[in-house]
Amino acid sequence: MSESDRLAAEHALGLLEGEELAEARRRTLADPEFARSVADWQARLAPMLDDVEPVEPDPAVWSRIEAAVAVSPRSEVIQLRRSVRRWQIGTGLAAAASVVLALLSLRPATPAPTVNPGLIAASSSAEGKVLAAALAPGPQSGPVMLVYIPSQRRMLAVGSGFAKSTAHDYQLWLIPPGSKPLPLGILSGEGVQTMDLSKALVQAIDHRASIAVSLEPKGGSPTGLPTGPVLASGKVSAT
Amino acid sequence: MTYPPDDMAPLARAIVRLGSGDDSALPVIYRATSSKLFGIILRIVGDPAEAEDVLQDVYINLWQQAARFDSARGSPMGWLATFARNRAVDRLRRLNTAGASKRAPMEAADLVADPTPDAEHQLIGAGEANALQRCIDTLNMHQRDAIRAAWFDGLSYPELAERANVPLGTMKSWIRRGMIQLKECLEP
Repeated sequence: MSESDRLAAEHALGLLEGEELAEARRRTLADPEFARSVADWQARLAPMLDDVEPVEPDPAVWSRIEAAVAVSPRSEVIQLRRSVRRWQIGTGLAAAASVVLALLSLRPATPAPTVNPGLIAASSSAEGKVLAAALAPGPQSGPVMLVYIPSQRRMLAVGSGFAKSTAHDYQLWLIPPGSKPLPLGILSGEGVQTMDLSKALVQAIDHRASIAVSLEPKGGSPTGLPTGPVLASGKVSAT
Repeated sequence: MTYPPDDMAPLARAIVRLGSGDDSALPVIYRATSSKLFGIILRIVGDPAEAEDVLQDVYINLWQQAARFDSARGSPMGWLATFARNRAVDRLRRLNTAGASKRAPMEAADLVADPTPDAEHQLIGAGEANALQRCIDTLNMHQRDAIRAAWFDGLSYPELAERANVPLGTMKSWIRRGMIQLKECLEP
């Protein structure tokens, strides 16, 4: 068994951890042959799942799915954009603060509220509107809330539900429209983080920019651009 | 790979439709598959509330994956089941890392078995399931148990090793050799 095939087989079984897992995830995205290898292993084993007893889920589950799908935008966009959501301009700094507080109290596995979406920002000032963004949780990331305060050139970030790792970090990116991602900082995943922003970032932030979280080596991407998979699943942030 | 049998065609078609942007395909897919997927997820994740959450997540995000479904490469039910299983394992790993207490064993009384199992949507054609079973039977007991526990229950290497009371290296070699043997048996 080649090293590559071995990695693919173990990845298909979900047995990898740490550095090997990060490597397998990177290769699944970057190397179609590796991805195919993983898919082949899973296809070989899939018939075994036939043995599992079906269990009928609560009807409420479908109602929630239906509701979430109804509000979720479905435009044909590039792969990266599907995983991010846009800044939203809202109606109250108090609302944004209450969101941050609500987010802090969420269990890591609780999805961000889909019925009460983007919350979001609000007051206007001489220096510009406070902006905020909410990223809904995905399979490898919990909910993330960001609040940008222009008068202080400061970003507040709250993320929870991120698996701690010695091998990698979760990095935030700002993506101005039509432009390449700019690194915002490493998400600590604990409490409210404050990030002071450079002039370049401050100039790039406006309501048309997008936000993403990617999985990077410890310390962040060495290249200045995302190298790992984008994790933020960006749900529902309609105003 | 053999083409899926004819009674799978409606599900494959629905997945393709969903991938092309037709959301009306989602309830069709849900009705046909949710019990099977929930059973798979529940077995791995353990906690019913978490399992419901993963199930929701699977269908809400299915439209993103649906566009990648290749009907020539295998049964749609197998593809869906694998997708659900992967999401369940991701959730399990995340819960364990977040320090969630060891998953509670499923209480049989809490589960409602589907009263009308839909035979038409049993995974993969009977032929492929039989071929796999024959090949699984060629493995030794250690290899077979380990691979089944990893696949069905989402156990990690350390958990597998602890459960079998062997060193990590031994468990890794059981899994790796078992997988090679399976592959050679399925594709001689």
